[in-house]
Amino acid sequence: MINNNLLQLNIHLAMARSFELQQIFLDLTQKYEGDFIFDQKYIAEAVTNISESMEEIFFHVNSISGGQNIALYNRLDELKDKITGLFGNADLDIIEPPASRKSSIFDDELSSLLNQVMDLTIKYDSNHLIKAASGAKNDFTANELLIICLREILGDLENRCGNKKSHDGIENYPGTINKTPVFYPGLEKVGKIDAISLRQTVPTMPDSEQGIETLISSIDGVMLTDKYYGKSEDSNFRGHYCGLLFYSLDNLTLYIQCHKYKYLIASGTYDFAKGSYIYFMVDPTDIKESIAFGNQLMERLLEWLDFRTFKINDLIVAGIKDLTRVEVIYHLGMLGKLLAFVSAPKIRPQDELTIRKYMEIFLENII
Amino acid sequence: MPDKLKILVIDDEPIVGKRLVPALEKSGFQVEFCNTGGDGIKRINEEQFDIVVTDVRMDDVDGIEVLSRVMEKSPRTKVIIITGFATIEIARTAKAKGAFDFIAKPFKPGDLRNTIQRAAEALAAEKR
Repeated sequence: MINNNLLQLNIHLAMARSFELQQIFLDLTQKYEGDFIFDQKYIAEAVTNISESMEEIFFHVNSISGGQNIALYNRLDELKDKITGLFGNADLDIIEPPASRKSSIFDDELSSLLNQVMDLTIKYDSNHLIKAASGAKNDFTANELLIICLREILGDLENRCGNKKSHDGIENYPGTINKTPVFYPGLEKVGKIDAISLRQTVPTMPDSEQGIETLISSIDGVMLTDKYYGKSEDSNFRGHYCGLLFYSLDNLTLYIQCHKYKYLIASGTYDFAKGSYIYFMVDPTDIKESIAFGNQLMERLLEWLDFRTFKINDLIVAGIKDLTRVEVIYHLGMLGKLLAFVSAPKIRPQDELTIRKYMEIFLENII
Repeated sequence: MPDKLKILVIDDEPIVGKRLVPALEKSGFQVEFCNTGGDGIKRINEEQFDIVVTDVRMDDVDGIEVLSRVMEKSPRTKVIIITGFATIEIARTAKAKGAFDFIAKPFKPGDLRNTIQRAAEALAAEKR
């Protein structure tokens, strides 16, 4: 099994590349929807960047899983062949721009090429993935392959928590939570963390005081919010978190499964100014409508906290870069508050109005 | 009414001309398009343009060479460089050789129009 330092490194790099990939997708979409002057070289360069990012993500996912996902490379090769075919086709079909397209100036073969490239890379169809799982289909877009990778990472962390059963439903949570008090190396001095139960806490470097500082920041955020909003009449729900944590002098990786969501925080906290980052991923454990509104609330709050946020179907990837160490600690605390707040059983956004109401509660009472 | 500004657009991807020419004509400019650097230089030798908009990487003659030729033939002409391979090195070389401005692709027609407007003001100021 991969050692903890390498696991942490691979998770961080996979998250960083996934975030960059979403930025490329956003850029392509903006170019398509807006009246931009671009050429075929721009599309070719974007395709190259997508391909390189995907290969890097596959490498990290395979490093984490011990080579269990080698087939992803074949899928990518198939995808690249299709895209190369588009570039080689001189008679690109002129297709109607979708209604979402704002531009009315440039409806030409270049727009058509970009549109077809976007169809092969950005498009996401959850039904497609279900069909693929049953063997009915095996052609994936880049975004669908990305989702598979991100869920592989979350699945690996879930397995390491020994909490696979929680997929079956909330009822399983009490039985899968480690209620035994966990010893946090170095944290006994602080004595702040006593209720959250992390399945495995692994300092990946000795004497990692700074790692402890960031850990305290994020978990304190969880605890503070959970104290007020995590209460429920149903004792099965109360404050039940299952998590996995790796931290070192510079890096923090925190995986938390809480009620209806799985969260992953990957943070690099360096000493020098404007060099640190946080990547955050949220995946709901089911796809009920209430989760959709919960996701909307999460997205709004993340954006309020200055995170660049991307939604890939029901999975959210967010990131913030170029932070100072102080800013990282602040944002980790806020993320902890956010995830505990949105996961709390009391918080049930059902429409735009309740989303706004919960945003106000969060901003006025939690921050 | 003042004469329309004469603009030459040089890019080896015809689609760029197809998009830029109508967008600039709509703004009231007289626009001509060449899809090779060689053709562009030929036109520069034949006629004086107020503004030349040129791509950098082209198969036959690159945009920096076009810029040098324009500066030799017609120093008053403003040259705007557009490129999908924007690097500081290219920007520095272009500026050193007398380019008026440098725009990275992709860009919006409005960005180019603003730069052309500034070039037009510079031309008018030089006349006074």
